[in-house]
Amino acid sequence: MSISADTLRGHTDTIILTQLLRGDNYGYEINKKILELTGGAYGLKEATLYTAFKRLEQQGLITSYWGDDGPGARRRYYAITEAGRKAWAEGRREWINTRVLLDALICNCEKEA
Amino acid sequence: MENVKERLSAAIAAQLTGAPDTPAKAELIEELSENLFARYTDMTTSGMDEAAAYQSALDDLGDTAELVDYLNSLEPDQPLPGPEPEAGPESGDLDGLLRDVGDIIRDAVKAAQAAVSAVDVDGIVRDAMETAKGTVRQAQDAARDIRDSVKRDGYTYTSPDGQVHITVNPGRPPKSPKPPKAPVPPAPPAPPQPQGPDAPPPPPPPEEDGPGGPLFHGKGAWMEHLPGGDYAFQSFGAPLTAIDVEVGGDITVRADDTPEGDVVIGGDVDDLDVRAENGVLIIRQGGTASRGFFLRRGMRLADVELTLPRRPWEAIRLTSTASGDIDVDLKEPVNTLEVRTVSGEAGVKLARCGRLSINTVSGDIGLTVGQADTVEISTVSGDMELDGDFSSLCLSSTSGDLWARSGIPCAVQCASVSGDVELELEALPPALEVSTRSGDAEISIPDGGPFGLDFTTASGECTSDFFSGVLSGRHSAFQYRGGSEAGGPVYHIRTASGDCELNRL
Repeated sequence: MSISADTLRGHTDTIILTQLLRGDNYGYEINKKILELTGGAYGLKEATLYTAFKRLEQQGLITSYWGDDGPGARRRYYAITEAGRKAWAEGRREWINTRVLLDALICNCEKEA
Repeated sequence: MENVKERLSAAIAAQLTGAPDTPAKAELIEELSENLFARYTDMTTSGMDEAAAYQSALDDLGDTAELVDYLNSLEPDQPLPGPEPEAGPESGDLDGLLRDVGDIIRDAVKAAQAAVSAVDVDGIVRDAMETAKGTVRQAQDAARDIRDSVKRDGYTYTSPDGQVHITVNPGRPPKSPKPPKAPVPPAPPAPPQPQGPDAPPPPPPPEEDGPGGPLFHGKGAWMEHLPGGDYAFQSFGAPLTAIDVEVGGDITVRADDTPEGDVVIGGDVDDLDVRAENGVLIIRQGGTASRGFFLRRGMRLADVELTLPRRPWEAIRLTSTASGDIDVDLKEPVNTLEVRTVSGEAGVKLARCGRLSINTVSGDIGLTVGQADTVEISTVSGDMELDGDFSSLCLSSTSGDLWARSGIPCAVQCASVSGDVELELEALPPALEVSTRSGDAEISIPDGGPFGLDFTTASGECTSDFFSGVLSGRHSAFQYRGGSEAGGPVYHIRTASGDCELNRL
């Protein structure tokens, strides 16, 4: 799992932006969704997630606000900005290019042989 | 039973000792402990042993070195959040009273924390209730002292940068007739909003003795207390072209009958901070220091009711940070409108809008607009109903259902996870991209020319009265000639398990 975890780490920002495209959400739910989508194989550590949030916020790709989720629960919600949508599209394109290249370099060897 | 959230909070704080104690750090600890606690709760609910769940939640924190670096990169001199404002140059004895309120509240918070870490549950609840009652009583007493002091002596506050200047009850002058509606004084050639600490004092505002309530003067503006409790807000310098409201309660925006006149502010006016900056009317929760304590912590939610002169507005930004509904009904064009709420509903009626964005977490969204250029709407679980002439729609929903109608050619980008999508497009859209996971999509377009359809799915099906049969399988395409040559835009529809119907309107 270590190689794929390294690969995934390079796309943390795009992974988070993808989740926020579906609507505003808070850290724990975003991480839970990532775990759910990967069948529990991949999740982000809280510190990694929040470092990414702060980085994305400083770059203007997301914004945040405190939401009120009932008694005793005050959660910070994150929302994607227009610049964030553009960055997501770019990150997605980058990943598709990488995937096509790696497919060509790794998956097609048997066919050639 | 120990308070797990407190323990998590303390454990996180211990990991962040390399960073200075700033409001940003306090907020980060609150945010992280809330999330780790949610994780702990999920794990214990699913049967995990409490000690193991606590350890697992804490392990999920990971390496905090980067967070410490981030906190160290922020402004170093931000104080820890406290209820008392900084002493202004002319604030006199009032600041002593404000500090007293701060002390009372800090003591109460400490007592509440001690009560929460007590052993028996009944004791926790009882102590917390008593502490809260005592705090409210003490804060009310202090607020009464402050009110009396302000009534007696008045209060003037100037922010350190000279940008904000507030005078409350400056000596209670005798009642004078209402000043004229025209900007007073007439705008001189000098810049209307001087910047920096050397800025001259604001022009002396006309005085009006309201029926009991305090009179607020923001820099470059004045507010008149109207009978019935509302305030009329008028700007001296730059005319108001934009509105920026952020409160916890409901927000209502209506148009006055005439283009002249003041902005009228109603609702919980005593709980609001109001000021004008560079033509922007800014309204926040705040009010007096004692109320501000409860408002900032979500224990009070201030409502705002605005009546705007009937003229075009450059920008209107409305945010309810909690459960407030937002309701907008305007007849004149608004160039940019942003509406955000959490669990409240958003209802917007507009004649014309350039750029419009609405965002809710669980609140439903209703939009009726004569014409709008760019519209972006997102929700997690709210339903949305959109009706108007849109040039471009970008919609996203997780579980909420979505219905939209456009009377003019509209480029649509629409994403939903489990919510159903229903689009009625009365003109052939120049671009259409719909993706759902389990939600169904029903799209109606006119038979107005050629188009291509690109349908991708895992287990869904696509039916249409533009073609016979059913499109299924991973990827299929269809070209409709529409009585002319092939071509036209290609519409992309993707589902995982949701079905799609593409119908003639």
